[in-house]
Amino acid sequence: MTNRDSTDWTEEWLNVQRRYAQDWARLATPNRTETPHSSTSDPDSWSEALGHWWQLTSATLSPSAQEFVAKLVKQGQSYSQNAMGLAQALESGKAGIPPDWHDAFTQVVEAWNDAIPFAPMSQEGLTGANLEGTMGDFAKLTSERLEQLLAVPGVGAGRETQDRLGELARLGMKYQNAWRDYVGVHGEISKESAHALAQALGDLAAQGESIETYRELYDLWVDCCERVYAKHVTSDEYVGIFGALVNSLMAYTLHCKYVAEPVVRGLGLPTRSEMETLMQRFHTLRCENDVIRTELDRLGKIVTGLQARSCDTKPETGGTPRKRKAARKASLVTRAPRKSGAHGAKR
Amino acid sequence: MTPFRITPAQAAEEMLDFHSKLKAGAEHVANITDLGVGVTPRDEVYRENKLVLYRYRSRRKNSINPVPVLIVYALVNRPYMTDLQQNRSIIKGLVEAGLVVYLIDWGYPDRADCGLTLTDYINGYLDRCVDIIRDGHNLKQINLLGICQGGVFGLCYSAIRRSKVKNLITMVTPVDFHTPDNLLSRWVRQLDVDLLVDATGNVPGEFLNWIFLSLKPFRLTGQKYVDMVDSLDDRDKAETFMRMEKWIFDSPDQAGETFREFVKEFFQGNGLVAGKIQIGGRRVDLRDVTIPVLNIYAAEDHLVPPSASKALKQHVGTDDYSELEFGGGHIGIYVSARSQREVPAAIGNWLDLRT
Repeated sequence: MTNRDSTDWTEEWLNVQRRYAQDWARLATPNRTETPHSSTSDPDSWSEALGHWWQLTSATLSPSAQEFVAKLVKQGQSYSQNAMGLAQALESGKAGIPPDWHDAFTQVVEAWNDAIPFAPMSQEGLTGANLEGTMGDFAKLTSERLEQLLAVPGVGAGRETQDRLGELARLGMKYQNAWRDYVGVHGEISKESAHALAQALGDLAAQGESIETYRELYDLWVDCCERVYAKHVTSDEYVGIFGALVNSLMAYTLHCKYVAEPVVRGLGLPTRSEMETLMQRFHTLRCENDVIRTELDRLGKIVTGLQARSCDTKPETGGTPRKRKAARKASLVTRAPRKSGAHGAKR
Repeated sequence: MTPFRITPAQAAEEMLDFHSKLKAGAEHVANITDLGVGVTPRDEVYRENKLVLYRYRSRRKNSINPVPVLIVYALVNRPYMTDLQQNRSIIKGLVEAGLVVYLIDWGYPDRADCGLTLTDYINGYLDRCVDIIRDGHNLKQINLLGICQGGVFGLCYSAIRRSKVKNLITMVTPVDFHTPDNLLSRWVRQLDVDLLVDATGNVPGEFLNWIFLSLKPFRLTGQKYVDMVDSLDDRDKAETFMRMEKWIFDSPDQAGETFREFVKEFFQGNGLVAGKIQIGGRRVDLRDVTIPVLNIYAAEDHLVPPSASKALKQHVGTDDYSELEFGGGHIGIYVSARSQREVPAAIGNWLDLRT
């Protein structure tokens, strides 16, 4: 097996793509002939090629670089798919049927939405919002019955566990409902974004302007999406939905830890409650230490000041015994304090 | 009439160009082995728990301005954004402007720090750092430069410990958290912060990242990376981008009690302008900030809208209040080429006039 480096493979891949581009150009001419590269009509061929290239080159990168370039490759694949898809959709007009450009780019826009790593903006959210009309009543009925069942108090020796698990299930359902509402809003944003883009393109056409590159279209789409998004996420409704999502998730998370505690305790491991108690006591001690240290620093400065003053007034070597005794007593008062034992000296 | 003028050949050509740049970019990225951040030489002056106080070295023998500046960064991100690389370093600019510069690195809180409060940070850590600098320079007062949440800390500190602060500079600092265009503040309005902190202990940095990205998801998770492909074939630009990426996602966890207080009292209660904040048992009243203040804000800041920063003017008690508008975003004010030319010089000149 020959040892070929990634540069060779990259060049070969680029050559393949050049041949594809030439075939594309031939397809666009009126008396075109069939080419062996029929797969160029497949919008996925470019992104597949990019994927193959990535498989070949990714191993040569460091893990952090891999993560970064993987994001770029994913964007590139989406870009490729949509460019080719758009070109295909437009090309259908050349057969004599006026292209419905509104439908063409709506398809492209929805594919773009899938490419954004921001999960709630996916087609899944859009579908969920559509299904709510038919499944909503059933889901609501089931949910209510389940809530009633979970609200029944536990019995027997395991009643505490039953209550905890029942509460966990109830909180889980609450979180799922909040998540569904959140995804639903983003589904609406997706739909509205496509219409906003249609409007923007219509405005461009009315002004006699045009989109010259796929990149211009992409940037226009991002502007439209951000505008629609900003309109929705500043509303009181969204603020409520967002708050409900985070609050329900946190309630569920907190209760999970509460459910796990007896198990952890039974295994002889420290529980979260115990750790929190320790942390609180540790913090209280730290605060007390800070106060004590500040006070010691202050007292130290006072003592230093007094020492400095006493050095300025030296005791007399002669004089009466009473005066000498008084001088000795004064020097004893200004002497530096002895270091205390282990309890006081250590911090 | 259709507004599209993209032919299949054009689309293919555009794709080829995109892929070529991606390939060149991947090669540059593959050769980046060390994304070092922090270029200005510095010395550790003081350390306490996770906090480290640094002093930056100057090539000058004597600084032009004898009063040192202490940079107080936010808790939310890492402070090396102010010293990212050779041609993008506010700290380097301040040092070259003749200032003695110190910086507090708050570190990465862990579960042992979940009990830390705002009082611990402002009246504890920050106050001790100020005292160390004052003692080291034999000065009664120093200058403070607070960035974002660090500016809030600076304002609170200047209100309760005004005898220790000579001049205060705030950069992209929120003061009024309830301005209509403050999306972040609106989102947390109905958040049960007690539940959040009780559930998580320290609030994860990933949670904050998700919220920040959600402010402009299409630009920040998509368009940014497509834009980058156009620049990746330039190695320097590729390195700058990678460093920015490192910083954006290098978010420390937030000490639980501090997060609880900050969100409830500042974001939800808007307590700073209402005079309801208590630090160390003392009420923070912005009218007690009677020292000179320079308020720098970014005109296109989507995280801290200009209106949130400019509100300081009507609440602060000083007669010497100045504003500087920078025509960029929340991050551009530290790392853009224009900010390197404008911001450090403006700060240096402003401080020199008040020394």
